[in-house]
Amino acid sequence: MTRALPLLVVVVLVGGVQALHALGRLPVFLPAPSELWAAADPRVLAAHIGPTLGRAAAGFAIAAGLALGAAGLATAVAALFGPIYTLGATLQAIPVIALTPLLAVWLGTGPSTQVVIAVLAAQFPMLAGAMQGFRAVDARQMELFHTLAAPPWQRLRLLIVPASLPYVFQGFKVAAPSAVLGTITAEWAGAERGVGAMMLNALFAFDPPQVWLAVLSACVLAGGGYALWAAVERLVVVWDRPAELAP
Amino acid sequence: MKRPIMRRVLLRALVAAALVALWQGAIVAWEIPPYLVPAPGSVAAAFGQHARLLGARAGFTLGSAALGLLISLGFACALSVAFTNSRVLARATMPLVVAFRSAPVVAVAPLVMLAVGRGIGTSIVVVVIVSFFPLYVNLMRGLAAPDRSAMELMRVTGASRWQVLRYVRIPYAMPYLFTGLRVAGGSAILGAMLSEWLTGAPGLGMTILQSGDMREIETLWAAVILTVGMALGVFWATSAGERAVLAWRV
Repeated sequence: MTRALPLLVVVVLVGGVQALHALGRLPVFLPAPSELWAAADPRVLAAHIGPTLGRAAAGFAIAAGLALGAAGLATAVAALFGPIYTLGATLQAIPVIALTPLLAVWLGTGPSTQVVIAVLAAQFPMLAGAMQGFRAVDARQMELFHTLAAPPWQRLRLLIVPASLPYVFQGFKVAAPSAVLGTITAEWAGAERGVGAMMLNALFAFDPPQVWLAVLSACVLAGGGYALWAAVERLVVVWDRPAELAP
Repeated sequence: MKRPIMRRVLLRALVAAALVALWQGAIVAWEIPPYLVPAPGSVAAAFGQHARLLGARAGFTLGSAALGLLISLGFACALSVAFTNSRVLARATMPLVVAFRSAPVVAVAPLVMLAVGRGIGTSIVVVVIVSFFPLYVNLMRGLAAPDRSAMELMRVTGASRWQVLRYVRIPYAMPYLFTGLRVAGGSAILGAMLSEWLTGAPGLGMTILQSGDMREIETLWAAVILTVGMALGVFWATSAGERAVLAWRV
């Protein structure tokens, strides 16, 4: 019952809006679900969602590589821990709105600007998660590995990865939506195609159904990024649950 | 009290001067062409040349951010006071509050623009939505912050609800209010500028976008620096306001 409740709310809302539409009582900016359905052209949607998805995924992948590498370096060299964290936090604090036009001048309005913004938007949660995770290794277990003279590879495979994965996935789950949203914001500053471009075009043409479709696409992409990593985590991390990680 | 402030201002001026020197030095050292990174001098010239325009644009952005922040503050104060006094109300509206928090600007701004149209209205509504949650959460926490002995004293002396609010809850909530304002102030400016990208309203966000498109690199840098200055200004203003209001605590 409790699990069906959100679904019920959605059904009631959609039905209510549709009923209001039938009565002709909807404001112009609120299209009925049936109008949305009619306006949704799979080819147009794919033409806009595809580029955004590709840029966000590329940005996410690059950011993941950089963040994991930097976190590994920070854990290996204690003196670098503070500076690397500060660098990540500083990059995170740069507002997209000030940076995108500069990047557009440097890199052009092609996909590279949006990918760089996606990298910047996604890096910090993953960096923070990985740095926290690598440090979460139990000191006594580390000592045991030391006493048994375990080679570095075994230490990584059997100790560090299992201990840090829950934290790393936590970072991934936060970073995936922000990569998507960063990409879309960057697309506002100039892109031929993409969900952000679709929003701008639809707003200029005052086409409420298209605006709503673009917004819904953005929400689905962002939510989907989170759901994807949550599912992967559930498949991979079978030995531990974050809830049991309480110190 | 006077001297540390002077020293702080001096220190900040020194840091700014060092940054400008570094900027100029990097351009000379790596021979960066002016269409990639303009020299500090030419950016300063752009400031002088477009002072009127930049001032008007910054005023528009600051105005819409301030107005939205004020409305948001009104909502947050009213709701948090009502909710600390009624638990039922608090629980009933919680899903709405959470929805406000989790809605990304990227998704909200286009819908707001559909409903409100081009112009300052969209900026204000977006700012209200963006800044509501940090204000509300901090106010709720602040109103619940009074320690037990203070609340007990109020009960013993038979204080009314209004008196408890006026003499205990609100003074205790002040530090939290300023924490909320500092967070909300930054996101208010960002929210206002982001909505200008959509609506084309004549603010600083629009200036940044336009000068980027027109390759007016010096104006672009001037506007970006002005934005950073504005964000820092809001941060310092809230900090100074906090010190002024909380002087009684020390």
